[in-house]
Amino acid sequence: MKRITLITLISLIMFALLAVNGSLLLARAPAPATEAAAEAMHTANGLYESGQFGQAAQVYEQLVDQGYVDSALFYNLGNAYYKQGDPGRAIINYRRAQQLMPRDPDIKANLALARAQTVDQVEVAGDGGLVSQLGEAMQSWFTLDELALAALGVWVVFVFLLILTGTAKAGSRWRKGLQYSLVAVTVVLAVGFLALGSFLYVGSAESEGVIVASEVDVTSGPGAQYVTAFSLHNGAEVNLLERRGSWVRLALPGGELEGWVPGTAVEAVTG
Amino acid sequence: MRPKAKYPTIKYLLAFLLASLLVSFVGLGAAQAQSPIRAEVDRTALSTDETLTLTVTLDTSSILNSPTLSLPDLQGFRVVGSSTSTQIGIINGDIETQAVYVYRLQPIQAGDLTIEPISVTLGGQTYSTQPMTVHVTQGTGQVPAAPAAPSTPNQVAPPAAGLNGQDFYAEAEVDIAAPYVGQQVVYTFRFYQAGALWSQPQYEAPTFTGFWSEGQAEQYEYQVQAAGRIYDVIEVRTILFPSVMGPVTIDPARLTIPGGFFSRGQTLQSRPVELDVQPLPPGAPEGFNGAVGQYGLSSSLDLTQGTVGEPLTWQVTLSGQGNLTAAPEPNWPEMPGWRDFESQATVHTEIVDGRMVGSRTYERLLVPTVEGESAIPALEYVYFDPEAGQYQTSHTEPIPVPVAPGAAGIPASQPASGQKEVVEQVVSDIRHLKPVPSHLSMDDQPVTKSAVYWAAWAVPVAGALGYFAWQRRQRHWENNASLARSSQARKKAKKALARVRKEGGDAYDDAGQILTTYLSDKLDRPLAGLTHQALAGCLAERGVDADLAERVEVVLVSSELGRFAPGADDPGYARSLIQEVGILVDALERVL
Repeated sequence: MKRITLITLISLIMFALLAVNGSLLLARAPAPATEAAAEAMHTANGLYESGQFGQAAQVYEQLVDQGYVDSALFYNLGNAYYKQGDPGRAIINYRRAQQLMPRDPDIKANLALARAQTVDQVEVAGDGGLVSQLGEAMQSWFTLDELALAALGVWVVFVFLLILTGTAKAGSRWRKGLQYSLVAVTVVLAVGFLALGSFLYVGSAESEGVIVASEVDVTSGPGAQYVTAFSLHNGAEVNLLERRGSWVRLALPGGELEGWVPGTAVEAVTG
Repeated sequence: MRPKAKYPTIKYLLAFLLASLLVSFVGLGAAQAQSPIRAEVDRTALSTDETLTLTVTLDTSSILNSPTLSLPDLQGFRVVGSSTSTQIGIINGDIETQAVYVYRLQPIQAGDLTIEPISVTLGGQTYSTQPMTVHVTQGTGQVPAAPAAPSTPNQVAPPAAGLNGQDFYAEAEVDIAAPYVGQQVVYTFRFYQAGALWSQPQYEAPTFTGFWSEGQAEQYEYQVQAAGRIYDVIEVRTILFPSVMGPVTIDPARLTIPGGFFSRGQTLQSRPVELDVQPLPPGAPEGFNGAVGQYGLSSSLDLTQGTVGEPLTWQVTLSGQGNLTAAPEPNWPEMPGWRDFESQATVHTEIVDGRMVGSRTYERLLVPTVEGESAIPALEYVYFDPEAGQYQTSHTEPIPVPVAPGAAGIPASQPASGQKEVVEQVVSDIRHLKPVPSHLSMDDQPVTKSAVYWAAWAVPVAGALGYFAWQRRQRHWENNASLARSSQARKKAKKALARVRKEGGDAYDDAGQILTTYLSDKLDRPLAGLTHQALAGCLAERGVDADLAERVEVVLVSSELGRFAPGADDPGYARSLIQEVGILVDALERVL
C-alpha cells in the first residue's frame, strides 16, 4: 500500500516537472504586441506596399532597435532590404527570422533568392565534421528552445520510467513492458542529447556574419596599411573570429581564407 | 603433258620478299639519314584571331650537350607562349634524346606568311628545317574559343637538379613565377623513382591557400636519366588561379612511400613554391569586371522573329581559356521595348593540354513589348589577357528582330490547339510581406541561458536518488526489526505524549505506559517481563547514570501510585508527570 502511494507521489512530481517544462515553453511565448509597435509595423508594411522600401526598412529597424524580436519583423525587414538591392542586409534578416522560425518556407525561399544575388562564390573546404553537420541540420529544423525543452521532457520521462522499473516486481509482465519502454526512451534521449549538444556546439563555435559593404578589401591585419589578401562583396557569409578596435577578423566558411575588415563592413547575424 | 612445275612460283615469292626487305632497309636507311630537326605547324590556314602551334623536334644521342636552337625572325607573328621538353628513351641499348620546342604564334597581319628555316648545329654540322607557308586571313578581333596550349600531353621535364642518384626524389614547381591575379598557373609535382616500390605511394597535395584550385588536372608518366640512373617520373599537374596579390607560398606537397618487408617507408616532401602575384595593370577599360584569361563572346536567339508578349530565348556564350567557373557576367544592356528576365548560367570546362578551356552559357528570357523592327543589342566583354599583358574586348553584333503584333482577342493562356501548356515560372521574386503578428516578443534569450532550465535537469535525478535511498532504508529496517523498533521508539513515544496532551484521559496511567513502552522498544525487551527491577538492571547495563535511572523509577512509581492510591489524582502533578516523561525520553535517547 505504501509503495503504491509513493509511486503515485513520484508520478505527481514528475508530471509537475513536465508541467514546469511546458510552462517554460509558454513563458517563451511572445507577449502581446503593444499598440504602438503593431501600429508601427502596419505603417512599415504600408510603406513597403507603396514601394517606399527605404522608409519601410527604417521603421522596421526602429522596432528592432526597441528590442522587438519576431520572425515576421525580420522577414519583412529582409524583404525591404532585398527590394533596395542590398542582399547582404536581406540575408542577415532572413537568417535572424529563420533562427526563430526555422521551418517557415517563405523565409527559406527568400533567403535562397537573396543568396543567389550575391557575387562571391565561396568554396567550402571539407564538410566541418559530423557534429557540425548535425548541428546545422538541427538548426534548419528546430529552434534551440524547442530542442532544449523536448530533451528535458524526454529526460523526465526517462527518470520516471527508471524509478517505475526499479519498483516493479521482478519477472512481472509490467516490469518487462517498462524495460522495453525504457530502452526506447533511452534511444530517444541519446538522440536528443546528441542533437542538443551539436546545436549548442555549432551555436557557440563561431559567430556568423554577412558582408554589408558593397565591396570590401580583406587585409592581413587590423588596419588599412596591411596587404589586401582578397576582396569580398555584399552578401558574402563569413565566420567572425574576433573584434579588435574597429576592425573585425573574419574567415570564409572552411577557414582557409581569413583576414581583417572594418567593423562597418560586416554585421553579425546574431546581434 | 608434263605437270606445271611449282618452282617458278616459289622463285617469284622469294624475289618479292627480297625486294620488300630491300625497300624496307633503304627506307630505314633514308629515315636514319634524315635531318635530326623537324618542324611542323598544326594548321596552314588561320585568321588573325587564332593562334598557331609550331612544334620543333630535335633528335640527338647526347643528353649532356643539348644543342641550342636558333629561332628565325618570325615576320608577321608574335610569340605568345613557348615551352620546351626533353624525352629520354633507351632503344636497342642506345640512349636517344628527343627535345621538343613548342611555340604558340599569334599572326599580327593577314596574307601568306612564311616561317623561315629553323637551324641547329650538331657535331659541327648545321641542320635546317624546310620553310613553311601559312595563309592568314583578317579576323574579327575576337579571341578563339579554345586556343591551343603551348604544352602537349607528351611534354616531359628535364631531369631535376636535385637528382644525385638517390632512389626516390620529389620536386614541385609552377609554370609562371610571377602571374597576374586570376591568371592560370600550373602547379607541377614530380616524383622520381629509381628504387623498387612495394605498394602505391600516397600523394598529398598542398592546400593551395590563396588560390582558386580546379583540382588535379593531369598525370603523366615518363622516364629520365640522371646521375647514371634511369628514373621513372610521375608528374601531377594542378591548375590554379591566384586570388590574392603579393608574395604567396604554396606549401610543400608530400608523397608517402609505404615500406616493404625489408625496407622502411619514407615521406618525400617538395620545397615550398614561392610566387609573386602581380596586380592587374592600371587603366582597365570601362566595363571591366575582373575577368582574366582569353575569351570570346557569341550571341544568338532561338527565333528569327518575335511576337509581342511571347518570349524568346537569348543565348550568350562566353568561351575561351581562363577561370570560367568564376568568370563575371557580361554587362547586360538596357533593352527598351523588351522585358528581360534574369539569366541562368551553365558552365562547361575541360582541361586541354594543361589549360582550362570551356564555355559559360547564359540563357535570358526576353519578351517583346512593342511591335516593329527591334534588335538585340551588341554585347561587350572586357577581360585582361595575361599572355598579351593587356586588356582586350570581345563583342557581339546586334541581332535584328522583327516583332509582330500579339494575337488579339485570344487569351494567351488558352492555346487554340487545345493542348495543355506547361506552367513555368518565368521570373523569380521574393515572397511577399508577412502580416503584423498578434504577438511580438522582446526577449530572445534561449532557455538554455536560464539557470532554472539546467536546474530542472537535476530535479528528476535528485528525486530518483531520494527514492532509492528511502527504499534502501526501508529494506534495511525490514531485515532488522529490533533496529527498526529502537529507531522508532522516540517518535512513537512523542506521538503518544502529544495525543495524551491533546485528548487528556488518565495521565498517571498514560505516563507510565508511554515510558515503559519507550524503554521496551529502545532496549528491545518484551513489555511483559519489564519489571522495575529488570528495567533498572537493563539501564545500568546500557550505561545510564544512576540519577537518570532513578528519575525513571520515580516516574514509574508515581504513575502506579496515581493509578492505585486513593486521593492521589492531582491533575497538576499528572501533567507534570507527562512533561517529565517527555524530558526523560529525550534524555534517554541521547544515551541509549
